[in-house]
Amino acid sequence: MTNPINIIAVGGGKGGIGKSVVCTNLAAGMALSGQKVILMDTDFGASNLHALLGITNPAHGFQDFFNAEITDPRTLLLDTGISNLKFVSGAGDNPGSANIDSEKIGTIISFIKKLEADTILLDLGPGTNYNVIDFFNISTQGVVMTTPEMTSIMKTFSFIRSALFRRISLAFQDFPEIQRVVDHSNPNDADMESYTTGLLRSKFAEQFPDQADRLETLIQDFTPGLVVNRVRNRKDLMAGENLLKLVKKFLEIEVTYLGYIIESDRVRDSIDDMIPFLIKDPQSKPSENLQQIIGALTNTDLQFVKRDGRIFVSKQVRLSSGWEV
Amino acid sequence: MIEQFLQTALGFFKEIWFQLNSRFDLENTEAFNLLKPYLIQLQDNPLYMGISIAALFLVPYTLIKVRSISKEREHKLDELMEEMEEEEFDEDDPRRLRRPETKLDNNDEDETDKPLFGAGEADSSSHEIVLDEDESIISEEDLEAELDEFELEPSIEGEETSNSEVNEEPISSLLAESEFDKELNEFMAEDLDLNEKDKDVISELNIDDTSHDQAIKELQEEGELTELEEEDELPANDPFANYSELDEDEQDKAIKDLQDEMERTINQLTQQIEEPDEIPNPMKDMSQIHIGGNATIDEEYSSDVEEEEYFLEDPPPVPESGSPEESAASSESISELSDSEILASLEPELETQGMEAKSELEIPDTRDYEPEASSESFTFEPESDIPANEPVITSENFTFEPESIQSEDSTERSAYSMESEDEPSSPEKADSLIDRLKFLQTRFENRYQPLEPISSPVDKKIPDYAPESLAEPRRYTRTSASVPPDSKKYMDLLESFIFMKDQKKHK
Repeated sequence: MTNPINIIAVGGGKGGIGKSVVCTNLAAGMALSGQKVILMDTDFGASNLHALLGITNPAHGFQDFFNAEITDPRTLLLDTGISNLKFVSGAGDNPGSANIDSEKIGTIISFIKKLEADTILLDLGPGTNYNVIDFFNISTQGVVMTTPEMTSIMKTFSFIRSALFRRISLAFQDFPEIQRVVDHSNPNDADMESYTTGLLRSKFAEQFPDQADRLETLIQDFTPGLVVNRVRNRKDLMAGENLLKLVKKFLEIEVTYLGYIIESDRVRDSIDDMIPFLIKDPQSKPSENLQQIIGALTNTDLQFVKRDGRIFVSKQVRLSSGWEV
Repeated sequence: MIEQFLQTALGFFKEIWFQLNSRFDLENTEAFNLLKPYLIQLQDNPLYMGISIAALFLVPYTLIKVRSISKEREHKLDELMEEMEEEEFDEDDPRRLRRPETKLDNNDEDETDKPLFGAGEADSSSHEIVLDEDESIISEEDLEAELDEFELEPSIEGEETSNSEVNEEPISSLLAESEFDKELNEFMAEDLDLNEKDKDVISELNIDDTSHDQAIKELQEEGELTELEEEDELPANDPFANYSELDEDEQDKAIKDLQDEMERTINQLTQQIEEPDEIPNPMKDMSQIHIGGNATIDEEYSSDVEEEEYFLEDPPPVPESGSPEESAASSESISELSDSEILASLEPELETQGMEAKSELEIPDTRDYEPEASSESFTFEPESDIPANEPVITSENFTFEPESIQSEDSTERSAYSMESEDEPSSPEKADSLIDRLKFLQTRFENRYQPLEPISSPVDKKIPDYAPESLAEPRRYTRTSASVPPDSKKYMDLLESFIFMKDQKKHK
């Protein structure tokens, strides 16, 4: 019996909040902890993950999907220099390549699902368009990121709501009436009154009572995790709590708070050095924060130690309740 | 004894209280009612009484004492600060910094150069202190030459003093009969001659300065005249004089005309700015004025020419040619708004340029020297010898042909092509355009009022109409930027940013 692939998508509505950096370090950390990890840059049109890994002129990437037939999808997997970590680049993006059609997105998604790995990490682009949201919705564990700024919180809320409504929309693809309620992409032919989960529930109870349970299940199953990046003080941590409150109030879903990463020059330096900060300085504060996030995602307690240029990982699997002393 | 004292004190207080109570009816006040139980307690317990009385006197005393102590300390601090400032000042004083160095240097020199200069000379001359560093390298003559340079700047009196210093200083045994003194004396004699020459030059300069000042005065007077004329005429012809009385259409028309004129003026101005060849070099200007005079420069004219050139100038012909009539014409053009008249307003200026050119041409001697002043690339090389034959060539180059002036444009072009002629006119034109632009702007801003006599066209009046009325009304409310994230207000704010105004069903 093979374990299902764990797909982790890291998204967030706003650009420049550190999605790519965190995603790279998550992948590096998971790979160092022994998992076979594939990191994917799905920020078509503005990819930069290869730069964070120091991969110059990547030989292959997602552009191969758009330019020619792929004979062997494994050629897309590039070595990163980090053991257990492979990388699929989005580099070579031409102008307009962010506007790929849903068919191509479907091809890429099927490609992702066929890959053999323990964990696939998807670095999403900013915004809430369906190309981004669809990648988020194929994940087994969605991670939304925010920074303490109000604008970022707003966008992350929008991102979560869009992902939830898209998920519901795809689930009820065969119900045009439900599509009108859920999919607001065409405002002329949409019921714009349902913009919160509560309103959606009432609409379903009123118009589609037989589908209400299914809707409920979809809502309950949607449990993204939240990471607050660039935290400077305790006040900044409140931003994450506020987002959780907001989501709870209007979307009535449980968002798991995975952790936070403090603002640090070490992170910036690591970007300049093109080395993940978890590898460059695993005992730094941001690295500790990241280890906690990895621990929350993988249900393990990880500890990275660097000695004589080598990284040692101690890993303790968290036992489920009942085994605890 | 104590009891007696207390009783008298109590009696005294009672008397005071009685008097106050009878006058202000203190017993019925709320404050007294509040204090009454405590006062009764105080009265019953002599200890409390003593403490309270002591407190009554001690507290103000301590306060006064504390204040006096703090004042004393402040005073001391001020004194200290002053002292420190004085010290700092002394430390930073460059003279103070230099003096010890010079002393050291002098000491060093004493060891090495004593036979040559003696001890006193180094101390006496401040110029030598600066030269000390190079003294080991340079020879005596070089040093003297450098000394000359320093001593040329001060007046003759300074040199006399230095002379006396030379005489007064103790002469070493080697120097007593040496040739150094002779050389020094010769040098000083030359120096004096030089100064005599300088005197002549200065006197010349003074003469020229006066003439120059006179020219400036004339210019200023003329400018004032034109301004006065403008002042007199403009309000009469000004369409904005009774702007508020005009119809809306007329008002619009007047504004439009004025705006057009302003645009045109700006365009002319920018056009002039954009033509780099036409922008005269200020140096050229000055040289031009200089050329216009009767003064001649010797062939051995040295590097001082560049500086002296500004002062050797005669009254420039420009103001003479620009008669008040012409300025009146220009003022007329300002007062009127139509296009043709605006264009016409430019004509006198161009004519003026032509006149200037002519007036300058009448003095052909000016181009007998200094061909650089009229050359296009104006590379002034004071040290280079000016060939004697050069002036002939330059005079050919700058032969003015009045026949070529056929139209306004051609006049302008020819004037520009002959830089020597056009130089004074171009900045004038630019200035006049700028002035006119400023004037138009002022008038545009003051269109709702009849124009008062304008002191200066440059002066800008504050518009009387309220700019707030033109501002778009705000459709949003400003919220405080520092809303704490743990407050409900923050959440409300967040929600207000997420949802639209009509999306309030969620509440």
